[in-house]
Amino acid sequence: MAERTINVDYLPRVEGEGSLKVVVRDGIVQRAELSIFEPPRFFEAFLRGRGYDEVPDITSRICGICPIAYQMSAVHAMENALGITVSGPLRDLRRLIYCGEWIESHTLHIYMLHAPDFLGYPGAIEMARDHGDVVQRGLMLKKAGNDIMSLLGGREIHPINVRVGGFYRTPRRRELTPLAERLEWARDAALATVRWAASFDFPDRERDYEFVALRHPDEYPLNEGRIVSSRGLDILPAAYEDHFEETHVERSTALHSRIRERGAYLCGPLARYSLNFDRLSPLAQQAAREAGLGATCTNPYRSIVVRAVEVLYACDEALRIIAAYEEPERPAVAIEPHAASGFAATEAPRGLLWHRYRLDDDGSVADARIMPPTSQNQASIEDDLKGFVTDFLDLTDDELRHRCEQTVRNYDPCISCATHFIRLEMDRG
Amino acid sequence: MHFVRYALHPAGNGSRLTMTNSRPNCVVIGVGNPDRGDDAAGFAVARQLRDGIVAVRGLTPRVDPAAQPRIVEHGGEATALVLEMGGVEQVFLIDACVSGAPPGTIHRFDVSSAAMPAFASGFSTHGFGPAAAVELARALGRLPHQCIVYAIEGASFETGAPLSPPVAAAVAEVARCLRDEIAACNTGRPLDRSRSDIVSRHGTIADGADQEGDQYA
Repeated sequence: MAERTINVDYLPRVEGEGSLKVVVRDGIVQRAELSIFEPPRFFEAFLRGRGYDEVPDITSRICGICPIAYQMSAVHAMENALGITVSGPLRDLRRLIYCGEWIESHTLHIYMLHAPDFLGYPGAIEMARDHGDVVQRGLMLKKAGNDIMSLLGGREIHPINVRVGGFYRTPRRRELTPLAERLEWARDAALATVRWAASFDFPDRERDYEFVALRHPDEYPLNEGRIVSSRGLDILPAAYEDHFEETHVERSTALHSRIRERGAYLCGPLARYSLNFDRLSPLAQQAAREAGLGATCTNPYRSIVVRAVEVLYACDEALRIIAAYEEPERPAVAIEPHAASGFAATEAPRGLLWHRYRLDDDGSVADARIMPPTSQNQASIEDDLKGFVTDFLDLTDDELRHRCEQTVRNYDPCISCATHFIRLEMDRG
Repeated sequence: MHFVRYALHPAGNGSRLTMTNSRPNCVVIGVGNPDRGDDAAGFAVARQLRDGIVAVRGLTPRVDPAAQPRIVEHGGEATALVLEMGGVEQVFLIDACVSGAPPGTIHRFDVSSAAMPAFASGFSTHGFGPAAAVELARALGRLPHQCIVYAIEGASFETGAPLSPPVAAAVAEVARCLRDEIAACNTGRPLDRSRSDIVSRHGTIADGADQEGDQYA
């Protein structure tokens, strides 16, 4: 029997630590396993007993790349529990700070982690020697996102200015003016990024994913919406556990997530884009079409282009919000804690981030549950590898290992969030 | 602790506590996490230097404030660090490291033209961190003319823990070394790194010409 094994003991250019093992027998991929060996982080357990108002700042510590996503899902879930609605400028500011996170997180992945795969470099440093101007553009574009997070959040990593009900302090209009000037440049840079990413060579591979993302009546989804799928799911975040289940797989300290009726699904940029193309701004839609994307995208290797389109949208949306911004009378809505349960899902850069909390009478957390996007995408990552590696078996082990890594990086996986990330072990028999 | 002492600091440039009215062509960047034990070493050096400058400004006006460096506390994310190093002639990076040397050991590397040694390229708790920042800046042609790295060997990186005693002692020593280096640079005099006070407290300084860097053990 012809056997071949490829191991990636430590998958580079991803957030966190994990490994990959692919086993091939007689030209057939028998197993593709993503192992996550980071120890569990127990956030849900140590939230118990903490005040409802502490949760946004505690959960933001789950991730240094997407702390806003954790803060946003937390504040929306608490407000859902306590019957609070945040609207007007406060709601717009939340959307603005989330745009900042999308810009910095996506740009980091596009330029520093994923583009080297397409241009044939081992990493961003080597790529920078030949493409200095492009990498410099990426650094400045990412900084524009960080600047939004710093201004609204007090600092760019683990911001401290978000609270249940709104913010601790809201910005003056004049503070946003210099930000808008930088974002004008960033929007042009984002458009150049879409064109640059679209020029890469992409493996011609498609998958019949069940896409899952938020959908909102008027907006490209960030903070709010119903959870919908490309196969007819359409639910409120409160009904999430009725349709999704988690199972423990021995090789991973992050739970695998499946739709009860159908199995693996995909969340993240491809899903968001394919379910919400009509909610993108005209500029983002036009750039996507010029980049060769249709209204849906089922080639995971083109996710780098979709991310670039989302960066462009985030710059566009941030500028729209700043132009319309009127200073709110109060930085936050008053809160009266009581016993209740609340649910929320928002769109982290890597996909759907669902939170559920049960509060006691004094507002302390009795129970918490958090579903990060990378955890939800683990099964799809393995299915991609099983489906694609068969077509790449004529590659050498080194080439195949690299292609497997690239395939995993399509997801911009954040193992730190899922629990924490990668090693490829390829067994060809 | 930073919530109490440095809450709501001005944000910007991926950094904190940037000094104003300072020498524009020199920056000292303390890298780390103030809440993770000895990973706070870089921040602690930056704060000691800043406190020293404030004192100098108040008590000894003959020292020109404009001769003092810009001081930055930084979380260590590489892309932001590259931008922080842009447009200056001299940068000092201070961080914690784990190389197996005794806790409190001070490593000094001149990475202006040579790569950071392998053992230091993964130091501290950051993934794509200071070592990547130095090499990315070099690849982009943005590395300052002089780039010096001080890495302090850590003992404990426990959440919420204070600096361990040997690292706290090393922090004070690095702050003193930096003042000397910056003063020497301001006056144009070469730094005498065989000074007896350093030798008596921290042993002999190794020759810094090789890739292992200097060790103040």
